[in-house]
Amino acid sequence: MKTITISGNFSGSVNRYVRLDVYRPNPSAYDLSKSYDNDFTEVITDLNDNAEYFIDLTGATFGDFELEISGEFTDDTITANFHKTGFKPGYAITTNQ
Amino acid sequence: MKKILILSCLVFFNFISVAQFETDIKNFIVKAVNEKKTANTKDILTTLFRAGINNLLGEKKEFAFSSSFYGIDSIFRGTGAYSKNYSNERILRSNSFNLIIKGDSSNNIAEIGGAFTLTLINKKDIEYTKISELNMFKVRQSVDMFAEVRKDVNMAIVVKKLAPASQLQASWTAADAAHDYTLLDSLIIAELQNIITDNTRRAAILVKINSTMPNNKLKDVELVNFVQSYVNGKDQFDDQVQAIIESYARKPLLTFSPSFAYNRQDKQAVYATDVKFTVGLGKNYNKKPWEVEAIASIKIANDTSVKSTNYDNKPLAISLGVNKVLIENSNKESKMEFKFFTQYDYQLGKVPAGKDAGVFTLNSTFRVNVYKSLWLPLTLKYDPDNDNFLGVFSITANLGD
Repeated sequence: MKTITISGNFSGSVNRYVRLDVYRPNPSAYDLSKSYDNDFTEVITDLNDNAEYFIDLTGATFGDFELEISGEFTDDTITANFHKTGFKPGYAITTNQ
Repeated sequence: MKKILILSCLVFFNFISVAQFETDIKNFIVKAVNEKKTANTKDILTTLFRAGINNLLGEKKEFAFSSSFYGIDSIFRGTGAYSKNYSNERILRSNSFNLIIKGDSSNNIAEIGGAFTLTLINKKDIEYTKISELNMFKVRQSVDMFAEVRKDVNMAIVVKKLAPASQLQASWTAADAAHDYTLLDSLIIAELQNIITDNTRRAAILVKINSTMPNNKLKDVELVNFVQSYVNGKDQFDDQVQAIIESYARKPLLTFSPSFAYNRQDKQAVYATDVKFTVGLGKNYNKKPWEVEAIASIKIANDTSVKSTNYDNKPLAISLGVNKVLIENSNKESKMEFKFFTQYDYQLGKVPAGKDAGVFTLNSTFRVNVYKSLWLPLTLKYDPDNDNFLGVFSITANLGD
């Protein structure tokens, strides 16, 4: 099993709503959906080895929102930030062998 | 002391040159805030720093510098980021201090003074405002709609092995960054169109969306319209967010500014105070905003016709006008504004012989944003009773917009 950490940090916004979706189809289907009303750090420890996953973030910030995805996947750590906007980035990761 | 006014100008232009590197400064001090405020509003209450020279082409120039307490705090904090206790910074951001230096016709400093601008009402700053339940419900519903539709589309394409996840996600992210969904991969567009025509598929998506908010069920037609907007290339979700932000930018601002100055030539103090109010008009957030502005001010100063120390000069000024944004950039930031206002000046103190105590004038200010934070306002004042025209040309830089 592989572990990834997804963290989101708001600043300059009283309203901090964001939804996280991590999923993949069969075989070994996976579907995690969570919503947060504030900064969050989600540690996901049950991802299959060498498997591709969708990671979607959907939310809105009236200030800034910074995103970081790190852990046991083949690409570098993913970072992104958003300012006074609805944000809907989507990422695809493949976990390490 | 002579030519110190010129030194003030140098300080101003140094400020301007700093403003040219605005992106770097924002990274150092604070990221962009309050883009949707008009220049007129930012002249009333600066976000970080404001510097300006009034009556630029006239004999008696006036240099003014303002800083919000948040601006000063940002310099000393120097972390390059908002504080985590951002909402607690409301007082710092809502109040500013002002330094004003007035010159005479020989460019000597005639008067130097300071003032505080205190905010009595400020509903414009959305960053530390709790959004209404209705607006937050709309945001949450749109979040769930978008998330469920995107997941459904992605899974359908990947199961059919038409494209890898990386291709789809790159397409979604690029479209999101540009807020331009015409950039979406054609496979995604085809799946979105399929959702619009497939009742069974749509019903399954609706069940998932409505499971999170059972008391406020989303209607099928609302989902169809939402998906159709993305097929058409529009970002309905972000349009909704921007409308909420714009609605707050149009809310009222009321400030109170007591000031004190020392006139070096008269060798006595000058006291003044003003109250300024502005509020945006209109509910259609796709249209460029109108603002109503009302200002009342009073000053207690020296009557220069009398040689001895006195406080016989007490002008009261009341103005009422409207400010219109004429040109916006693609981010809906104001780039050109026109303000028309009427003003009534009344002398509460000693009225010189042969002069009227009250003067009514018609005025207009035309503001052009020439580069980043740099604005050139030109004010024209017309006195219809005496058929006098007066033009005042200024230059201002308002950092933090």
